[in-house]
Amino acid sequence: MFYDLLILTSHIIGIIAFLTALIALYLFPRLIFSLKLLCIYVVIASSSETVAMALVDVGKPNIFTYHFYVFFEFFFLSIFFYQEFRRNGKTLPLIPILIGGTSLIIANTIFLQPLDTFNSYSATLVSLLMLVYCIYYFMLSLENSNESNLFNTLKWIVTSIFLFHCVSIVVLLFSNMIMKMEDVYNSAIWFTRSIILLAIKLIILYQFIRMLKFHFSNKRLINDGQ
Amino acid sequence: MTDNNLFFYILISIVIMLVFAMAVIWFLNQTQRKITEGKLKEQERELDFQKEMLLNTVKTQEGERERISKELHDDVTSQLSIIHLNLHLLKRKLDADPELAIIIDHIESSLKNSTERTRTISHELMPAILLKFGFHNALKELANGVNLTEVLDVNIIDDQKIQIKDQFKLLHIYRVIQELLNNTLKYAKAKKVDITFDTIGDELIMSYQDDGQGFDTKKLSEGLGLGNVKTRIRLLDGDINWDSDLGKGVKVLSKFPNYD
Repeated sequence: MFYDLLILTSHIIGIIAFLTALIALYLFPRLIFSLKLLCIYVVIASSSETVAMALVDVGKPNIFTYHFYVFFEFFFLSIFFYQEFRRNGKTLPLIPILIGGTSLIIANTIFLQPLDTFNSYSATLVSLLMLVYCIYYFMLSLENSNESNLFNTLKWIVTSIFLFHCVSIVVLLFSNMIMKMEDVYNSAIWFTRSIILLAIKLIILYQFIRMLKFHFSNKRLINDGQ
Repeated sequence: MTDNNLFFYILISIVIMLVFAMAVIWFLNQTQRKITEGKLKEQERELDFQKEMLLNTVKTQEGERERISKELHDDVTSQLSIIHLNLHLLKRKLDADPELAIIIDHIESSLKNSTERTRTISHELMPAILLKFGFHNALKELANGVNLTEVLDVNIIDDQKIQIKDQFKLLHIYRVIQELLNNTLKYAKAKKVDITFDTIGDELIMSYQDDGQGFDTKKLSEGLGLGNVKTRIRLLDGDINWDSDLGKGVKVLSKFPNYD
């Protein structure tokens, strides 16, 4: 039962991610750099979901897609947060983080957890890093809070990233153990995560729809409050 | 560890992390709300302080105007009257010499004009009638004064709707009208001005409309006169809007609380 539900939720997530990606692509030229990075992240997430789903549908293993997804998530969200911290007058050692993180993710895939296993170490580390980024972002937003549309959109998106990684970190930490569990438990856990992921994808989709609405009503979203 | 136990621990961990995330978000939201409220209060305090400063500046300005008005009225005009009397005596004694009589007539005429002008300035600086006979009469006299010039026809409608008793607030309204009339006389080339008072609930709506040449509101500059008008309306806790276009006259709408 959980497996069927998991498949259903994954398909719904895939559709939502696809819609978000379409809006992101449409809005892309009109957005500030940090939102452009978010768009790229959304498109990559959507593509990764689609490929993973397609592979499941044809009965092929799809774990390797997660290796690529983790790398892209780390790469683009790091630059996104770097941009956001810079907008708030703070800086981040971006180049060392990117080089160090990329090396660790690649080393993990080559030496520790190859493409046919879950990259739980690197994914957990990335999740941990995202949580640190989010908390730092929240702290900075306390100092520079304003009522602008841009601020609210970014706050919601970062909140959803934070919520997702709070839950993901637990699942990812035990992912290889989960994979060895009985099917019913395995599916139940992934289903729980997918429900939270669904909620988060809906929040992100809503924020992109808001951006689209602002775009069509000619209201300033993209660079106000800066 | 059995699958069942592991499943249970993972589920509990997920719930704990979810609760932790929610708690962090709730805490941040609350803190942000408090910070925003604090900032708003700070802005309100700043605005109150600015208003207090403005009020004091205007009070000082009015006090100084009153002092100069009294000096002009009690001292300068009295002295001019004495000079006028002495000149009159001198004129009698020198009546025999027609050349001197012409010069004295000329001096007398200039003196009369100067006395009149001093009285007008003194009156404009501080309309004594406002303090002695109230806002209604002061406004009437202001309109009559302009109407006498036959350049402009000023109509004041329903000014008895004003419930404000505070002399200082009434002086603000008087000054606003005075300034608007000055602008109309200086720039508008208007023939008619209607000043109408109306009430909506506790608010007084003052409408000022002339039929002059109008102006482009986008080019409305905050000259000293209009700046003063805005300041005084702000001190009345009200707001003001200009509506005009080239060739269509000017309509100024202001609203403020109709009580002290």
